[in-house]
Amino acid sequence: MTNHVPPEKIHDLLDGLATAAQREEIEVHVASCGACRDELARMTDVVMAIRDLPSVGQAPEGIWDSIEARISGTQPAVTEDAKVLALPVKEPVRRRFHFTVPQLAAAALLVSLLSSASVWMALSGTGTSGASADASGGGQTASVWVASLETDVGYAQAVSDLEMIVEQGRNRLAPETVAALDQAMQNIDAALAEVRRALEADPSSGILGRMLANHQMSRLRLLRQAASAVQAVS
Amino acid sequence: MNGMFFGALMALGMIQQTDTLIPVEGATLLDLQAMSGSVVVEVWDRPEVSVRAEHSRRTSVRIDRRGSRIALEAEARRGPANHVDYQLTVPASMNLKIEGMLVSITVNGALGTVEAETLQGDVAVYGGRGNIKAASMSGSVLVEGAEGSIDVESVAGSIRIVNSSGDIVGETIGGPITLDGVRAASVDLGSVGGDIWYDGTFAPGGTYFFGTHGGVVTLVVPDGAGAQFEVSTVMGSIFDNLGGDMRESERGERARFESGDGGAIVEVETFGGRVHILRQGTEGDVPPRGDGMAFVPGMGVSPDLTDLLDGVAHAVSAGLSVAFRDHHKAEDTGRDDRPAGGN
Repeated sequence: MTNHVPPEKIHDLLDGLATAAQREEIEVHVASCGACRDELARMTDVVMAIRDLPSVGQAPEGIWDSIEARISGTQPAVTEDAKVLALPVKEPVRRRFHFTVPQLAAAALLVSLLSSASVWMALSGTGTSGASADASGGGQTASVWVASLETDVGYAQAVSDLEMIVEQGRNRLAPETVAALDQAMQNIDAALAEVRRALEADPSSGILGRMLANHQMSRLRLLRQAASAVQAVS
Repeated sequence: MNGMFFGALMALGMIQQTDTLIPVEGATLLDLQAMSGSVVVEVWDRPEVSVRAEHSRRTSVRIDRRGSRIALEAEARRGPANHVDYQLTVPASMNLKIEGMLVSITVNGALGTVEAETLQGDVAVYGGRGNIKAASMSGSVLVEGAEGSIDVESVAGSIRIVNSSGDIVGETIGGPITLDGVRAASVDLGSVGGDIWYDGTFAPGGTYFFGTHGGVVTLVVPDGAGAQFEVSTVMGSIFDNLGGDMRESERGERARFESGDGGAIVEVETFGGRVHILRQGTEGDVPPRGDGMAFVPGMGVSPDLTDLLDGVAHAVSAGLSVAFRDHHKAEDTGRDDRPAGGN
């Protein structure tokens, strides 16, 4: 299993509907995939919590308490009920530079992207705060990033494969969808061209390297969405 | 579907209705796959799922129950199932997964996890608590009155999140993103060509990122909000009035400043788009929403960008870095870390 475990398979597993082979496949995958392991744990918690609830009624207040606490900067009051009812809230996956690599891995890009992203993250020395990466001496990181992704054979091959899937199946999509895709792709390509031009003028700019990477990721994500849409109507 | 039209088709026997009740019996997820039409979900306090659907005579709605999941999918005797308009009523706490091709989706008041995604059509989620994911490729996405983890995405359409709270992630390629009346613990918004408008709180310890290539970013900062702002733009300009008067930075600016106790981290990045950081209640020279720099494919984000890029190239060749003003230089000129008056 190279992609992540689909939610319905997790449901099947939790419902006891998965076959022995499916169970083994999922177990093998989650052993090496943190995202799926987290998702499985989250769903297990959800199912266990919901099973203890009445079948009808309001959602547990515990869901909101932790978020409310973070907004207000206070710690949530933990009551006995809250301990029982607090369901985990899945953090939305940020799309900027510390990429949605797990999501993007739906294509056969994971290794390629991880290596490239790892180089960037290691050299930027920030981990999460992209905007501060080029405050001083960030030029090398930009160059490394540009070199690593722009010339990455795996990335180029994956993009090419996805483009081929979309091109071959675009006539199966609604014209409005195709028009939206084409317009979006043109926008991204135009933005990429502008950033590349700017990088030629200022190759030491960290922010430009980061923008290039983000646009590349947006392009990849769009291609993946388009390819999924094509496959869905096939 | 238009009532008179529907009535006429009913009279002709061309439209049929599915109308059934499904006992929940421990089910926690409603999973709907739709090809074309519309989906409207309401909630109630009964342990049942009501499925009402209008469709052609050759189409039927298949209900498949597997453990904790109730799956709905239209099927046809011959060929693919076509247009179906669903009206569903579910227990408020039920999780929803709705996927469509040419489908508009509306969810009202769900308190479980909501995943609503369509290729073509608008998505609207009203109310709700927990995990909310809403996406449309060519339509708009609206989330209103929601509380929780909110993840929205549109390729070509607009994104609007109104009177909502929680952790928010949003991305478009070409459409604008508008957040109004938001209380967010974290925000991550990105667009290629669209404008971003944020009118909401900046929570202590919260992290906020707003990035667009060619659009305008406007942040409305409440009185007393504590935040450290780091704003970077390659070719755009930065306007702010946190210190009182409206100030404009030079193009290609990088600025850092602070308001209040600086408890939140706010990052803004644009390539060519302007950045406006405005005190709440600012009147007058406030950029209207959605009037961002037109993004013309192949022509850059603005007609004068070519000149600006040439200027950058010239400056770099002269040994200067004008793409960004160095942070220390900004401090020397007094632009950095200035207190925000009135906050």
